Amino acid sequence: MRTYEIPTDPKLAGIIIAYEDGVVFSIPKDEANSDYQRYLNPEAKQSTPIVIDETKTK
Amino acid sequence: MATSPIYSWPEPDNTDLVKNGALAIRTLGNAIDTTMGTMVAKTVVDAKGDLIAGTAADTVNRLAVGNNGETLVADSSTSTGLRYQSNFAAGKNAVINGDLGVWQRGTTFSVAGTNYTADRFRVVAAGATVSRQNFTAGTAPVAGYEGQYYFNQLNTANNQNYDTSIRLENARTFAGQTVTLSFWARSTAGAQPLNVAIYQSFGTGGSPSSDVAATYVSGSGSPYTPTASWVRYTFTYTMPSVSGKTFGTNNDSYLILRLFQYTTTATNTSIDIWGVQLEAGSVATAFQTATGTIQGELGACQRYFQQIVNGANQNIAVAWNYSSSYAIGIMSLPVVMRTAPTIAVTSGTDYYTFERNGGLDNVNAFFGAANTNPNNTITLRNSSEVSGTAGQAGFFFSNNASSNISLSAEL
Repeated sequence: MRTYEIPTDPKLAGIIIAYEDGVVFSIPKDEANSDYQRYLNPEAKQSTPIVIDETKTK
Repeated sequence: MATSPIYSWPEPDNTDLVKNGALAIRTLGNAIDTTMGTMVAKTVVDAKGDLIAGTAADTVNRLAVGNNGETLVADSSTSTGLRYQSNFAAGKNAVINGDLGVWQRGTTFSVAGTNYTADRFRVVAAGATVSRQNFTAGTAPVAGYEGQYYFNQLNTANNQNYDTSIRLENARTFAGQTVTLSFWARSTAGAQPLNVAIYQSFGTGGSPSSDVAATYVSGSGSPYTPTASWVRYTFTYTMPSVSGKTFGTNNDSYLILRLFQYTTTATNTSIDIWGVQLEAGSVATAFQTATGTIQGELGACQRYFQQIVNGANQNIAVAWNYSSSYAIGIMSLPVVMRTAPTIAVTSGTDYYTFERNGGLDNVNAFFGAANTNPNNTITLRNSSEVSGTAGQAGFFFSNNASSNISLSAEL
């Protein structure tokens, strides 16, 4: 389970800190960073669609 | 009777009687007619560059010249057995790490969720082990390309969805073109029918928000069921046009190459993959890596992920005491990354050390900040365990076998 923290250090104002399984993540507030998108949109899909449209794949 | 020097048509001798001339001319004409009937008429060609190609025994047809820069390749599916195609001597293959040579994150992974494993290979699984396997010398599936490693995924959970894919930056890639995805696969245990697909994803805020599937044209079919032996599977698609689509503003659109997806009803399915290639055209040509060199493949992978530290006693960064209780280190990255990366630091007691002024400060972790545009440097900071005097210089190094620092700019 990933938990997030907003750093109080003003020199780290550009990042979000996350903790998960003993790893410290420094996530830049960059819209193109997928971890930042995951922070902003935790419910967004994390994988490709499962349902196969057979007419398009067969 | 005399004959002509090349085609041996019958000709009258000089001493023949004139009264036999008509018959001689007729005989000669018939012989010429017979010869001409075996020849190709110049009207077969219509334009500059046209070629006359055989379509069967004693049968020819016109092959129109290709576009500028295209090369002629053999293709048994066409009537002439030939086809012009675009030539990508370098960069033909859009798939980075298609030969599974780069494994920066490690060589064995227990996947329960979503994990990157081999570089660029993204695995979604409820329970799986992914590992790097070695080809026994001389047993790689392609003659003339001696692969060293291949990808193995052992799926162990029942009634779960498995999805292994590669994301290619920029959904504009091959838009509106015919492409062929190819790779070698085998299944030495619990073989399952596997779905394959290609999707366009238009990025954060892009439209449509759902992924757009490419249209399957021909090939090995979806699903395909690998056998116990290495077989090259090929899948030709028509990529959708991006006309009328909207790309997100974050430059994070991509193609999804789904190598296999299935929902299992059995456990312990083993799937091996090697030699992944996506190229323009309707034919899978000889495999080659995206860059053609070992360093090129590593560098291409490092645009998305960089393993900075993995183990003890590894140099990390030049550092200094910003204050008595705050140390900062800075490092330049070997490759500019796709975007400002996430810095992942495995934490633990005394996992890292700040050496400065004849002394050592052991620290547990770092926080980091990445440069943005260009995404070419990072800083590492600690204000929890360091001491010293402002202005003192030194360097950070790793101090534990479990020390690990990586950078991710994955899609």
